[in-house]
Amino acid sequence: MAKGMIISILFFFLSALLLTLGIYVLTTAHQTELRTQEIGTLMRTADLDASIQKAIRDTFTSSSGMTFIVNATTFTIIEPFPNTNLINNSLNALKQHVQTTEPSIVFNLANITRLRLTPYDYFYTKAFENATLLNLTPTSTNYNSYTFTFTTSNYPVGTITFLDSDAGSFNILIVSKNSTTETRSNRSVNILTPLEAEIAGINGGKIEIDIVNQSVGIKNTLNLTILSNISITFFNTTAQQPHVELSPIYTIFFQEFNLTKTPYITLTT
Amino acid sequence: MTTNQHWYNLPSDNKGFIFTLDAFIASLIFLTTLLFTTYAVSQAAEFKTTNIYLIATASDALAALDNTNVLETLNATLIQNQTITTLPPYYGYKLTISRSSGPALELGEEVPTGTFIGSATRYFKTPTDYGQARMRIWLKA
Repeated sequence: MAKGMIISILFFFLSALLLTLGIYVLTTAHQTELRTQEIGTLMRTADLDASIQKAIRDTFTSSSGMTFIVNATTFTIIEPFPNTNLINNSLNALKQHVQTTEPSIVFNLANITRLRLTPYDYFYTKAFENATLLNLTPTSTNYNSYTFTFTTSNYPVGTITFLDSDAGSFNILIVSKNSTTETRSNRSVNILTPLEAEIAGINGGKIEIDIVNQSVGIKNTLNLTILSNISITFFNTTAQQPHVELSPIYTIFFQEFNLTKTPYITLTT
Repeated sequence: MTTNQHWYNLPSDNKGFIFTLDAFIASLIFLTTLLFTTYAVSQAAEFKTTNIYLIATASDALAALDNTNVLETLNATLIQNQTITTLPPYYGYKLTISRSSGPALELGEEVPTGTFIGSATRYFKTPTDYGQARMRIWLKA
């Protein structure tokens, strides 16, 4: 009797162990399914993000009128100033199309004029929407020269004047040219102190460059579109691939996994 | 053994029957649990992995079409040829392209029922508007 009881108890514990194992396997299967869904959602997010970034990059290439030349330490951005290209309309069409077909993506086009020069964390605010003001905003003093070139087709080339600047080791070169004539002026300044320069135009119009607390404001009151070519040279402090990014203009959000992505958009590779 | 005799008063030569019954029931529970766990493990380990692989393949095939700028041509023959070249022959596929202001495009086979369908979605720019491409793939029987 005692022997049979011991065997029964052993069987009982064996069954209990197997049942526990069964429950454990079920839980694992459930967790595996959850992980599968998460991986699927992550892959979906990556697809959506990569493809929308490419669509925005293609839109910039075809509709912004901008050209980016990037090498290890120098970024050159060329665009009409003011820029009358209707990239807002194009991106708005993309926004409408995506938001009507993919509810997990929400666009906010407020930042489409703000570019980031990566990895130097330097911001260039574009002159879209006929804006006659262009801003450059560094976040540190990791750059050592500016070259501002303004080109017109047949407008008279005006005199370049530095109205206010302190001597230093930072190089600024300003070039004004049309199809036949070119004038240039360069100066070594202290970039940490205020600087003011201008290129004279006709009838009181001019191009003004103001630097206050390292923030550069360029204003065009010539009442005509010029071609702005701005080069910024940085100290080579990082091995990261330099590229131009657009500030985040959309958010991907999958509520079931609390997954949110609001990426900077790579415009150059 | 009389009819009103309790089981626990069985003569010693019948106690083996109870023991055998007990062992039989325990074995039944054991086997059921074993079969159940084996099934659950196979479902968890194999089926889900295949699903992820199908989703990844759909994603890669669509990315190949997008990154080579084939998708934006909206040329059905070109897209179809590229897709067939990209996908292994034992995959069936259906590619659906909708546009913000243009006609939709459907390529591939009818989507079967009763089998897992891996899908991927991408947005892209066409020369005149924007498109959304959805690739669905499955393992052919």
